[in-house]
Amino acid sequence: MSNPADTTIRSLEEIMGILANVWPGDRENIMKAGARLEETIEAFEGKSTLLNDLIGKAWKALIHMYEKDECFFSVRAAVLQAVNTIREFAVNDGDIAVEVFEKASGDLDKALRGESESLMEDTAPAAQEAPASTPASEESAGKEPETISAGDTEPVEAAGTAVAQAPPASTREESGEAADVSVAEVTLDDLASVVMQLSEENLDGARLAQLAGMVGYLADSAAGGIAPIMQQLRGKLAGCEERSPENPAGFLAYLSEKVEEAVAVEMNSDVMTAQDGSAATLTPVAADLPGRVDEAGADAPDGAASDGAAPEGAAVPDAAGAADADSDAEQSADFRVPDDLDTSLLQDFITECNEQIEEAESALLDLEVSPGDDELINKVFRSFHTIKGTSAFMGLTPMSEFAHAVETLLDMVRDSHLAYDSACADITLTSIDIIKSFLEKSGDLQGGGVLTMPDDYDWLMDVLSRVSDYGTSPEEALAEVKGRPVAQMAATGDEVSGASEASGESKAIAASRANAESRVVAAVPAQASAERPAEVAPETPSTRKQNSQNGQKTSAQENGQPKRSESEASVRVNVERLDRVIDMVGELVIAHSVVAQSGLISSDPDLSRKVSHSTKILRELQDTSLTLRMVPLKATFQKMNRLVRDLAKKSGKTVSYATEGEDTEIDRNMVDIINEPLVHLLRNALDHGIEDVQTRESKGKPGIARIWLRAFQAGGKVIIEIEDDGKGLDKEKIMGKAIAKGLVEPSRKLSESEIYKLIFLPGFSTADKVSDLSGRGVGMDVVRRSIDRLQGKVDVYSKPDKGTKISLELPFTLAITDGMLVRIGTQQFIVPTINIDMTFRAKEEELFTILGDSEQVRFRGNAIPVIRLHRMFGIGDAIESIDRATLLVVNNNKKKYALLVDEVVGQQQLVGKSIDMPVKMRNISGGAILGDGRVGLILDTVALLN
Amino acid sequence: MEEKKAIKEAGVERKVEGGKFLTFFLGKEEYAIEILKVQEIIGLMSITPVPNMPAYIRGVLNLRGKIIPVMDLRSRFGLPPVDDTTETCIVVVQEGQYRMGTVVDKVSEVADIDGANIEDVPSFGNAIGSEYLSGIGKHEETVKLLLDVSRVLFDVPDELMHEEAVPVEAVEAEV
Repeated sequence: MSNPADTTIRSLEEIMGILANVWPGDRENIMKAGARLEETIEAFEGKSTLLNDLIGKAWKALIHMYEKDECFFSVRAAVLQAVNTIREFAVNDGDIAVEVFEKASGDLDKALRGESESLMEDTAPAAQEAPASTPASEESAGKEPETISAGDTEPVEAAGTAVAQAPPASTREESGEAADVSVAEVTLDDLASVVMQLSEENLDGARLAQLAGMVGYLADSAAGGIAPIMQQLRGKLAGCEERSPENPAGFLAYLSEKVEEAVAVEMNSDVMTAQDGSAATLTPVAADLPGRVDEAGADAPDGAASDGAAPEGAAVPDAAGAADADSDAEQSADFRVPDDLDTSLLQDFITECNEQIEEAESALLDLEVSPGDDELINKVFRSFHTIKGTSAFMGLTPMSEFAHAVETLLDMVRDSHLAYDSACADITLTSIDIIKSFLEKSGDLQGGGVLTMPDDYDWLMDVLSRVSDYGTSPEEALAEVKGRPVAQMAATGDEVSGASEASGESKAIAASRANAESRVVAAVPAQASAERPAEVAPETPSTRKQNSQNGQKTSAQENGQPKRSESEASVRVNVERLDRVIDMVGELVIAHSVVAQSGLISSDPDLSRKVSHSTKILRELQDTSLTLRMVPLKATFQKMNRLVRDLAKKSGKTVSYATEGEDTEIDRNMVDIINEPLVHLLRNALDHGIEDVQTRESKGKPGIARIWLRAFQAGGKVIIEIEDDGKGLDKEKIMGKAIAKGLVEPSRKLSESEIYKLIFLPGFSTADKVSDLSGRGVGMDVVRRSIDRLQGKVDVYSKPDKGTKISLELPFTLAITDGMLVRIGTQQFIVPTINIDMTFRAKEEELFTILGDSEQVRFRGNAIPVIRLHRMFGIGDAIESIDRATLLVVNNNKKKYALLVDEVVGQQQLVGKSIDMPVKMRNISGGAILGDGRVGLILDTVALLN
Repeated sequence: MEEKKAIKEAGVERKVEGGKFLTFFLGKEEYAIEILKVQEIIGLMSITPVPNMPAYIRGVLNLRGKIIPVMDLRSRFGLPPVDDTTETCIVVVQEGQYRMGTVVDKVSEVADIDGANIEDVPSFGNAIGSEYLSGIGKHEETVKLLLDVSRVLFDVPDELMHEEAVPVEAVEAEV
């Protein structure tokens, strides 16, 4: 650049520097600035009319500042912008977009016009452009206005007119309103455009000063949420004046971010005021926002001040953000996987990601309960971060980008910029579903193949970008984005989440948490939600407060267990090999014990000791090997957690959901099979069992329904219970349906439980409506078949209006039991130690009978029934007299009884196995291989009682 | 349980084809089972009795870690019981995934019985066991009674079958 140009630039910078620090009444400095400007005017003589026009306006503005104090800051800001524009012109040697000038020009006009109409002497319907609005008191050098009106003013004027058109219109309307509104929007947008024109190269002291000035003003005067952001920015700038920042790129990024934030906030508050019906021009703009954004993005992808171009006023967010939204507005194309995709790594990648996703999901569910828990958020964040990284490594770009978008949202939550409310939870949980979908689709990928996008990918990306880029609240983002039934999302009123009550037992509910937010949602087309917030509202404030006050943690804790441990180190092993090892170890143990019992061994003490030692080691080996296949039900329960939450939301009911005994272990082979029945049963409970809130309350029941999922070992079996406090089963209805479908003879008399069990027959359903949740009569049949496969039992208990409990009894195929070996006559039986309280001996006198029938014995002050197994089993050579026998106190679900046995032989760890008898065994729940290779029968302590 | 019924029903319609059979004695009568249904033959070993079982169920035994039921065929067919001898052994029979040990007096041989030599079972009136036979085969001058394995294993008089029907009283839980 030539020297004169440099001088000009430096002059302009100087002007900006001065102006940035100028205050009302600071005439001396204004004068200085004005003088400088005059010099530059000469330099630009003959150049672009636009330019000169702008210079003229700036000059006038300075005069205004010199003379008056009104709207000082807005004028000052506008002048700064104008001067900057001029400087840009010089720097770029005239290579500047017309819009920039127009914006600067328009803003100056606005600012100047803002204080009084009187200045616009000849504002015939705003048709006249700048020349017309020249303040009467024009001390300008006089040249400029003429130059402006001469020559090719037409295009300028036309364009300028367009600009002038909108501002007057809006100004006129707005001037009716608090002038703050118009002032504020001018300034923020100016700041935005200034920031946009910044680059790493031109970031110098003068600009910083200018920035600081603008920011300072905004920080002090801006409305609503903008002020704090500006204050932040001011703080950041405070240290940087007069010199360039160390990290220009980062600094700029930060600036842009903050400005966008502010713009977004402003937009939101505009939306709010729009809803309130204020007369702001913003209304039509705001309501059209989604569309607008796209349009703006489409029109001005280069990021220029698009709001200057389109006549819709200044509420459109920066085109920078719009560009993003634009690309998401179209359907994302399918992704072509890189040719060098490493398929051998793919499976591992999928497995690992699935693990990450599961962890993330459970952490998210917990997070809904305790939104303030940083560790949980970090956990989720880490998971998505890992997924982002590994999917990028695999070349699966869409997945990586998606993970990144979610990560951004999580970051906002982590930094407390965003509260983790129910809408946020919906978004994040849906993200999890999308990742799951991605993983499923990736399963068969080959290099060069095509990865189709999951269904909800586009709209969720849209939602995510709205929340992250524009600061839209999650709730609004969800409501705004088309393609998702808003009613579904708007049912934020009811949800299942959890927080521990004082009892530490169950998760409580946070019913429509977002009451305030749901009102906004209701304003946007979502009538369905209208009633819900209202009726659930009463519970909200108190429940919510209670929940947040509890600040208790996860389901792990509520089960009385320590906080969920970090995942232990683990190794992946081929399941078949594992099974083989376990079988072999089992046989080894038995073969060895047969050797150990040989007479030769026992006769030699030395040898005997050695053999006994190896027996011990083998036993331990067997125990450990058996645990290899056992998995806790925790994972299954967690899947249910998510299911119940989603179902409750979908059906619009409020449910409190509690689990117990998730550490109960079952054989891994059974885990997969048990999944489906549990899903069906829970669905049934939610769909048919639990009534809606009104019905419940009209019955005098708490509006919040309860569902339990429990697992425990009893009687040598694993019991899983699903219980609800809903309306219970209707015996007559069931019977009627069964008869109608020809499943049962009308004349047959069935016991209550037999009637209940009718529901498991195929094709049976008493649901009046078929929802997509259930009602097709298929679910219960599935349950029954799965339980049959597992060789288990199903029992149904129900009380009308009180609730229903479904109890699944599963034999442990490979569950290890601690068993007490007892002898009756010559036969030995095993009683699971878990059910034994103690053994004792009693005297004949302590025995008595009731009604000549059932025998009872006095035990610790209570009378408990005595069960004579020798009689029950028809064992002839057993001890019958109490004095010589032993009594075993068995405890079952708090019911106690005493088993009469000859003697207690000893305790053993056994592998319980189910026995497939052609005739079903009573009172026997299974068998185990004893040390001598014989079979010991395991007593069913529950059945014995009946 | 359903599977068992299905297997049983399937067995009803089937006509016995020729092939190899394992033959054994119960008393003086010689019976035969399709060789494919025989898993193994083991010597008499310790059988744990199971209480409350019909008389023809001797109990259970441990077959290499698996617990399988053991049936006394003599009792099943209504023959008078005899003491076990050194020749008594257990034929482990399988049908589908079910296995059962059957106690027999003496194992004979593997006989190749031609389909042409197999005839239907003449009805013996009330004799117990006739429904367990699927045919009569002639082999080397002797007559062998062909057993219908699925019937033998699974046919249980109704009063003893109580998987679904037993009304375990719904003890109202403490809800």
